[in-house]
Amino acid sequence: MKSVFSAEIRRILLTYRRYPTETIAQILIAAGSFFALIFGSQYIVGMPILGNHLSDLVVSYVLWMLILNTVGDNGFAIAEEAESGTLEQLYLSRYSPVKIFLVRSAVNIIFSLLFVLVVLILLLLLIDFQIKLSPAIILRVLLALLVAMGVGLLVVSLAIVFKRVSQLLTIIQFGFLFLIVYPFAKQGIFGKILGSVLPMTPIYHWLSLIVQGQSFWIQNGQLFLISMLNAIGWFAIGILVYRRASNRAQEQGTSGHY
Amino acid sequence: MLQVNHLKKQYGDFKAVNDISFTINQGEILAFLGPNGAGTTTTIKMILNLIVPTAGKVVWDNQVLNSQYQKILANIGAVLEGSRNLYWRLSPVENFEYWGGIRGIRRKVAIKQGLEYLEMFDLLAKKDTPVRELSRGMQQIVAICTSLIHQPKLLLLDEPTLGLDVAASERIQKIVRQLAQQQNMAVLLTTHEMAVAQNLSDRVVMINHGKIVFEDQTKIALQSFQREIYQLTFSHSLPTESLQQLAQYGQLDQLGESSYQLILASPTNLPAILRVLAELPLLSLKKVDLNLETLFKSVINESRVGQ
Ligand SMILES: Nc1ncnc2c1ncn2[C@@H]1O[C@H](COP(=O)(O)OP(=O)(O)OP(=O)(O)O)[C@@H](O)[C@H]1O
Ligand SMILES: [Mg+2]
Repeated sequence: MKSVFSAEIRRILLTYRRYPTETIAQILIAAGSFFALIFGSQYIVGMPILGNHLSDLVVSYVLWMLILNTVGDNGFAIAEEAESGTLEQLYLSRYSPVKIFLVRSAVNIIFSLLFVLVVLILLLLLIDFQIKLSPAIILRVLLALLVAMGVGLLVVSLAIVFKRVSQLLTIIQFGFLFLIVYPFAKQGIFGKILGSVLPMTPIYHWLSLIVQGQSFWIQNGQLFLISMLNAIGWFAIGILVYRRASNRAQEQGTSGHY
Repeated sequence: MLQVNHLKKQYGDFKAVNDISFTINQGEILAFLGPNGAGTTTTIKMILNLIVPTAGKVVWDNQVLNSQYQKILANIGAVLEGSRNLYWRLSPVENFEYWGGIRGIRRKVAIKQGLEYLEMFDLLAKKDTPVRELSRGMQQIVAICTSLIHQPKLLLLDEPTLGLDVAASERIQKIVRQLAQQQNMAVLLTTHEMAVAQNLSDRVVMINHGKIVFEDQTKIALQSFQREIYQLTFSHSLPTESLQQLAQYGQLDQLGESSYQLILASPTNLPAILRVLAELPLLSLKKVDLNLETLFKSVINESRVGQ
């Protein structure tokens, strides 16, 4: 599997180098998304972004970029490959396709985090704002990655079954923006339940508490559990749905570009 | 080496592939032929496990493959039809690196292997040109090289010369021959160009409506298809009566408005036929060279009659 990982990294680096305009566009999107998020959350939450909310915002930003990438770039790329036919060649590897897709989305996520990191560093330089990278934060981000990989497989499943899914993916991206910034925790029991089971929301909630300086093991033990379950659950759902989609394509003979 | 046993694929009530069995051996080129929609692509994809058969088995070296399908994929290379088998944004070398990685081949080995094939196929000069900038024929050659970097024992080519001009098609044919002869590779190829199949194949399998209708060594098939075929052109189309008269001596097919093809049941019929023709408004009489094309047509025709 190591060879798949390095092949994927090399392919992405090559593409960045060969198509610099697309690379620049990606950086601009990374920066632009931050502002979209500021306005978006102001609109949805109805609160100005000040003080503590800025940390919320940074956290939302990182997670949203993660989603933008797994659902967006990665998803578009796979949809395109399903249409053009390279996807079938991936199935001819002696490694199982699910592993290949997981490696692919992991590599994609690494690159998108790099872009985010660049933007964040610039931002922090500009506005003199600090986040301490504690193990607690890193653990949450890792959980979020797990969710992103699961969602990535869901997107692959969509692409395998429906082929032309670019429009749909755009809608899903913005759906996630809503999920991340909507304050479920403040919406009563029903909202709390939704906020626990929807992909990534509890992790986001938890993350933002920590970033605001709350200690995490004691006060948020329950949230810890929910976040773990959320991450593992969405990862598992991704794998299960992918298996079904892939079997269906093999049964119905639609693995190609019909 | 590879054995296909009673493969079937059914979509709803429609039987795309209906009980196909054949084998392919090392160093052998097998032409897998059929008219459009006969089920060739479906069969190839079932061999690759891209499509799961409704019934039947694929056997590799006497091992039935079910759960450990991934294992035989290490022995098979495939260039599929009408689909991109490469990343067009990458150069041939970069494609070798990438697809080598996907198949678990070390980077250096993959590049070396790919370059060797590029050189063998006279395309080394294009090793760093992005695939999208290459001609169709070159893209096809690079796709074949890429499908070979894990050194498979069996190569599946679905319509490898589709859409190529004569020169490019000949290059591909030469490559296929080289692979079988020099590397002892088994090659299964589909094509609608009977001349290509005739040039290349050691053996032919013809299918129609998902069923095998003919199978033989190519040479033997051509030798034993010892029927003479004539193409007859008249000044106007013939009355039924005359047609019936001619049809006594063989299989008569209408080609155009007033032209027919007659496959003689026996060469000894020729004098009798000439006597019948003497009474008819014959413009030309041409003996058709026996080739895979006429064999294919006659086989497909007979299988239709048999339906
Ligand atoms: N996924 C599918 N669902 C339903 N029918 C299908 C599917 N795939 C193929 N078919 C049908 O099965 C038959 C065989 O298809 P296949 O692609 O194997 O043909 P083929 O022999 O490769 O033809 P061609 O030479 O035109 O490529 C065709 O009639 C086709 O329409
Ligand atoms: Mg086909």
